[in-house]
Formats: sequence, C-alpha cells, structure tokens
Amino acid sequence: MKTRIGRLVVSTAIALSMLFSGRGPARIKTTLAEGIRPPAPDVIPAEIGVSPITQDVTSIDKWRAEWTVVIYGQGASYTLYVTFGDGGYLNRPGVAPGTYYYTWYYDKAAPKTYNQTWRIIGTGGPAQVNSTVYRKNY
Amino acid sequence: MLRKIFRILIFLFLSGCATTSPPPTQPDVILSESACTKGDATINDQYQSPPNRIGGGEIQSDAFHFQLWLYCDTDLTPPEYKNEQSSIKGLGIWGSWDYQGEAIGGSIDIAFGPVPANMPTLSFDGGLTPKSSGAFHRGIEISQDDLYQSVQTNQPVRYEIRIQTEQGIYGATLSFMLQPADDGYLPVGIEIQGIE
Repeated sequence: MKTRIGRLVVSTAIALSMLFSGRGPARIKTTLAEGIRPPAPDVIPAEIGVSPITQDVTSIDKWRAEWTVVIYGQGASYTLYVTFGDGGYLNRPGVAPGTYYYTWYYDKAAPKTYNQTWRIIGTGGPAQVNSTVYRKNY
Repeated sequence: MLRKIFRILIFLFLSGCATTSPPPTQPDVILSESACTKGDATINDQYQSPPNRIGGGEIQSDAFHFQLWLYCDTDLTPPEYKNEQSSIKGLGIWGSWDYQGEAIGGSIDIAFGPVPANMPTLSFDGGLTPKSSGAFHRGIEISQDDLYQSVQTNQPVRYEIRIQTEQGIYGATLSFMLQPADDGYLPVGIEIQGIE
C-alpha cells in the first residue's frame, strides 16, 4: 500500500514538474539519427581452420611443428596473426582466403606444452582457432 | 718371479687408472650480475620487444627492418615469450623483422640463431605483403664449449636473423664479446649489422 502511494506521489510530481516547465508529456520520435545507415547485407562469417590441432615435436624432426591453415571468407584478404606459444609471433596482412602451410621450429629444451593462436581479422571476422604442440624429451 | 709379475700388474693397473681419469673441466660461462643492472625496463615498443634490454639495435636491409637485442631475464622458464634453455643463464636474445616493400609471392624461410648454425625457425608459403612482421625469443643456444672457445680466442658470439625470399636473402647479425668479470662474464661490444 505504501509502495503504491509512493509511486503515485512520484509520478504526480513528475507530471506537475513537466506541466510547470512547459515541456508537456514526452513524445517518441521516429526520425533516424545522422550517420545511421540501413542494415548491411548479410555477411557470411569468416572462418579459419588449422590442422593438426595437436601434435608432438621431437629431436628426430629438430622440434619442428607443421600446420595446414585454411582461411574461408568473403573478403578479398584477411590479416592473419599467429602466436606460437614461445613468444614468437607472425603478423600477415593481405592474406587471401585459401590454404597455407606453416612450419615452426621450437627451442630444444625440457618437455613443455605450447599453445598457438591463429586469428584472422577482416570481412565476416574476426575468427580464431587454437592449437597445441607438445615438445617431447626425445 | 711372481712378485715381478704382480708389480707389473699393479703398475699397469695404476697407469690405466691414470689415463682414464677425467680431464679438468673448464669453468662455465655465466653472466655477471652487473651485466643486467643497465637493462632498460621501460622500453616496450610496437614490436613487443622484451624489457630489460642490455644491448642491440635496429637496421634496415632493403625493404626489411630488423631488430636484434640481448636481454636479461633471471629465469627463462615462465610461459610465453621465454624459452627454458639458455646456455648463459639469465641471458636471452630477441629478434624481430617487418617488411615494408611491395607484395611478393613464393615461400618465405626465416632462420634465427647462432652463426654459423643458421637454424631454420619459420617457413610459410603465400609470400609477403607490406606490413608483414614477426618476432622470436630464444635463450642463448650455443654450447658451453663453444662459448668458452669464443672467450679463449677473443672471438665475438654472433646471432643472426636471415630471411630468404624469391627476391633474395636479407638479414641482420648481432655480435658481442664476453668480457671476464669477478663473478662471471659481461656482454660487451654489442653491435648489429647487415648480413654479408
């Protein structure tokens, strides 16, 4: 009951203040603000695929990791940003959709897990996929 | 007669022991603590170079811009940009490149490591476009024997970043001497130059 009375008092106060300030009741305007554009046509999301998602590296192959990377998208080109998990990175703007091959040699040391990120930025993006390399002690 | 044979056997045994005893070991090449007191912990630019850099620089080689830096890290084991192994504990090397030329096709092969090992590090196809870039962090991957040899012969330690494209080979070399100090060695005369 008290709450109802409170709400009534508040709404009455707002109505009176609008009346005396000359603004009148609020109105909904339907005009578009400047800079607003009509909805863009549908864009198919860009995608990036990496294979394999996990792999081992050993001394036999000099701790070499290899990936096949596929970029899908409607854009003419994308910026690909790769981190290899050991502090190394690669930034490649202007990469057209397609299939690419990457090789990275890891440092020779104790067993460790390295996590990679593969990220594309561009039309329909960004998109990202992660992979993992296990460095073996042999 | 038996005594003589016994003595000869004893002699042979002892002389055999003498020849199989291990040779004296050379002292490890370790980093002097004072080497890292001049590190610049405030610089961290757009190339994500490591803090605590103690020497190095940058150089332009045709359309490529290279940076090579020695940096201090008391513990090269945490995740991300540090690798576990460094022959000189606490010392790492960082290299970066960026390309400012026209788009080129073909495969790209990048080597980063001690000279003359010329270690492959990264390969990819699809060529290079303007503003392509990359970086590497590594410990010092030179054996203690080779480091000790460099000290003894007064030869610089050399690290190289080398990029091979269909247009040619581009790169930079970082060199430094290991100067003996009371508690280890100091990297001195740190210089960067284009590859020959």
